[in-house]
Amino acid sequence: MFSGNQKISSRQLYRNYTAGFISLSALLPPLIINGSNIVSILLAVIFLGIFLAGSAVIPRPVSTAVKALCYVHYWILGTMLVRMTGLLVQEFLLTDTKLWIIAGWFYVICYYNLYKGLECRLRVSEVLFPFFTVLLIFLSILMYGEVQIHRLEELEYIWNMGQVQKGYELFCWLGAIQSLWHLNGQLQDEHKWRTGVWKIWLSGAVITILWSLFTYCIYGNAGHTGLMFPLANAMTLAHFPGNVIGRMDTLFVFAWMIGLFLLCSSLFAPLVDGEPDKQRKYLLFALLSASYAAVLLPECMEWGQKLLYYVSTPAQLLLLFFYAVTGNGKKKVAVCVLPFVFLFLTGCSAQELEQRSLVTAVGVDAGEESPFLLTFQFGTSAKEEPKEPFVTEAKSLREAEELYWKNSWKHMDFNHLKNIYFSQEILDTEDMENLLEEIQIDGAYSRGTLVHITEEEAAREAEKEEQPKDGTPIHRLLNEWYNNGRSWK
Amino acid sequence: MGEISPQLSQNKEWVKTRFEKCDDILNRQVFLDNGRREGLLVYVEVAVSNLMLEEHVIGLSDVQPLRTYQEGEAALLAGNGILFLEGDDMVYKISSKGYPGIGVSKAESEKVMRGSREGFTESEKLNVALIRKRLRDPRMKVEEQIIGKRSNTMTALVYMEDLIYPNLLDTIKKRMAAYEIDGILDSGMLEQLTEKHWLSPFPQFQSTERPDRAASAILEGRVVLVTDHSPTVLVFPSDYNSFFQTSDDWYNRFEIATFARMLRFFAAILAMSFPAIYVAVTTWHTSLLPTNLILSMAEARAGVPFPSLGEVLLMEISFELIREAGIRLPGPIGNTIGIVGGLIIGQSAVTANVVSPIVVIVVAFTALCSFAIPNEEFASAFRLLKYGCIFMGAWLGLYGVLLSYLWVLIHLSHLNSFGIPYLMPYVASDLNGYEDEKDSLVRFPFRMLTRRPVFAKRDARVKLRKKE
Repeated sequence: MFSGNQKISSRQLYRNYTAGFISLSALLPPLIINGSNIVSILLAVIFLGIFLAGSAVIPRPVSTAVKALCYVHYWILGTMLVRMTGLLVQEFLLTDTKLWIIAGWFYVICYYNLYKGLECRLRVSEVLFPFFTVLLIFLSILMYGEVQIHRLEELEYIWNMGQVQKGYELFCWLGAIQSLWHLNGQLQDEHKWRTGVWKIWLSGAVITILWSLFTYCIYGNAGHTGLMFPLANAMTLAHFPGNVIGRMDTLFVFAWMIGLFLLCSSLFAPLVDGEPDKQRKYLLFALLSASYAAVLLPECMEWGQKLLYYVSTPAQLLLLFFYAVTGNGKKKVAVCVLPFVFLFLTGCSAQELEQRSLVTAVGVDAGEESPFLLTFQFGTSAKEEPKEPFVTEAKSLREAEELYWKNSWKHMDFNHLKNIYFSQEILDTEDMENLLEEIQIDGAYSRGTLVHITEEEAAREAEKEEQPKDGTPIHRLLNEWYNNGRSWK
Repeated sequence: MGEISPQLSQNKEWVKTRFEKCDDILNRQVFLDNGRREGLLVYVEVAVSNLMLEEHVIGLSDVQPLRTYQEGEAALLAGNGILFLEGDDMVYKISSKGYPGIGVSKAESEKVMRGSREGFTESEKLNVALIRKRLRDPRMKVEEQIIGKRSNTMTALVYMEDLIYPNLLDTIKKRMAAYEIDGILDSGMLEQLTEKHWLSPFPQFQSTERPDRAASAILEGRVVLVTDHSPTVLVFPSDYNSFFQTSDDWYNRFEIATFARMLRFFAAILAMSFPAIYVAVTTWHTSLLPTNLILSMAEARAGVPFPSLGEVLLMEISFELIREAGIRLPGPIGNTIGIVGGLIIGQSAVTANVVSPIVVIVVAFTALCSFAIPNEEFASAFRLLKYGCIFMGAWLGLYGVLLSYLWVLIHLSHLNSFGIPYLMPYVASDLNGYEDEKDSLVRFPFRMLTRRPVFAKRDARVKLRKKE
């Protein structure tokens, strides 16, 4: 009676693409924002606005060959986004789990979503959108305490070719929204099409700029350098009031994943429109398998970016221009037959609670044979006997963790690390920078961990049962360090 | 309509057209005055017993003459017999004891705090009468059909003629005719034969034991399928939303009803995923819990020989066993087994260090959540999916739980019940101008529920308006 009409509502369109746009905004602009390149982000948003305005008025391409050309573009983008999603999950949700498992499952569900057709895919996004946005807004509010609005005054509005180039590059990534063009004419209320595209752009653009400013207000100028996903790292600062829930970054990544899933589904939808007939389903399977194989190669990001910046995005722009000038043209582009990769998913590295030692405090002193003498204090419940701290010499926290694993059957769990103590004597050493770098980059350490400088041995403070609840979050220390040219004292 | 005609043939024609396709309304030719005077007796089956007809038609007492067809129709649908006589411009109402009352039976599985206590019985005729009792409108049609080569089971399709999409009836009739079967012993068998997505764990027919629920569905433009020997009738088309609604949602104030619905939705999500979230958090995402809690959980787990996945599965399966045993045993013993089994097994398992106390809490809470879903069949789907979710949670943490959610959501997005998207009104609600959302997770005040849901014909969706 109603289904199978392949027509979508303006709400479905809005929710699907806005969710994708917001996910990209949370993923990419925070990576490039610093005091002097806010202009590039504004430019990217403007470029995208112009592109979408074009796709709102120019009829969608109907030739299969042209659509296939566009699809290659989306495929490249989608593949890179899946790799980034996989890395995000690996870093914040499933440490030590292989990327091929994470990505494999992602593709399985993606295939299932696409297999069911356009209507089903858009219904999924229609339902998920409210959860996704509410979670993101909620988590952002929880971080309010760490946002320093005065940092906005430090922003510089510099206009030069460098900014244009960065803006273009970001636009290429935001181009994931470009597949909107192919839905032109598929809306139930045709008259709402242009308004719909305008609303998507406006919401996405506002959120892109807000996320950028938000992360800048947290990290300051280049404060996030070296972080893989700055916003996710910033979320480690978010705590639910009343100590009901611990670190919130897991939930953030959970919400973020929803948006990225929707976005990747849009990008991988074969030729975007139409019922998935048998032939299309085989094609889809082949394309996803090839994408999966590509995701597992680290080089795919480098190659993908080159293709995106210099080949596929310019081709998209040309196509749009071509259609604007001449209407439906025909271009013969062969669709590559891509190798078939079978997913065989095994293996995991979950750890039971009793196999974990919850580190609550770390003391860092100068070592004799290695740069640091590290003392790890473990948490125990009120009924348990206090555990002996683990003391070892190592050149990094990671090395100490491995040493502990060799001597014990348990893993160190840094998710509940509350305090880090540095003795005064190590502050001037070069190795200290390496240690800070490690804490900065590794998602295992919450940026809300309190840091203390001790005049005597840090180990003594770390070993104490009663630990202070006030102090400076390490996040501020790291920001000072980066923002002042790695001179933080 | 208007004044009663003195010509019986004209009255017969009126009855024929007015009550066409109303298989529950019968008419009988009678002769009075030693066969010299012909008459037509019309009555609602079940509401008027044969014995009473015999007594009254021969002219004992309590006969009231009525002058218009309108009055005659109202008297008939109120459960009385009406008698037309040749040459008489009046119709005679023959009083009867009327429709079956609360004595019939009580709805056991859909109890409500407010509203009728009546439930369907095992007789198709009686069940149709219980619906007719609530919808005294000749536009409510009843089409009876016999199914089952050997059982010859009587079924009835009950619907409001001017509200339903005509192809809905054609579809169900075709599906019912698509199989030749020995016997239909319950509506559940018919349900499985006529479902389109028969591999799905989610029901595509709503089942109810309550006549008021069935009547409400008919007023929404849906069709009710009554099967003889079954106290459960099937309602279609159905959507995800309708499985979360109970009769008293509309009888209570909107704030209370909204709160209850939100609870049920939340309960459904937790019924499927709470144990999985527990396993995921304790084995992967300890950072989500505060340090004190995670330490006490770790302490509670000390000495438990199974991994979290194992203890959750053990407790879940034990719970299912208690539930299954409770159903099979006679009433009071079944209840006792439920309580005793739950308490003793849970407590003993904790004492014997087989499981940790937190797992007992998790499993009990999940069970509560699954019982909060009003439709048993629908709740079973969540109970079953829970196991897949647990494995995914143990394997891939919250990522696995998210993948499970996505799988279920994609599946539900693809489902439809007789062409209506299953996830209405959370998807595609523009089909009815977003009106259906007013009676979904949030139940708007009754005065604002002016339109029927998407099930009703497009031009017959107004159900409430203020009088001029």
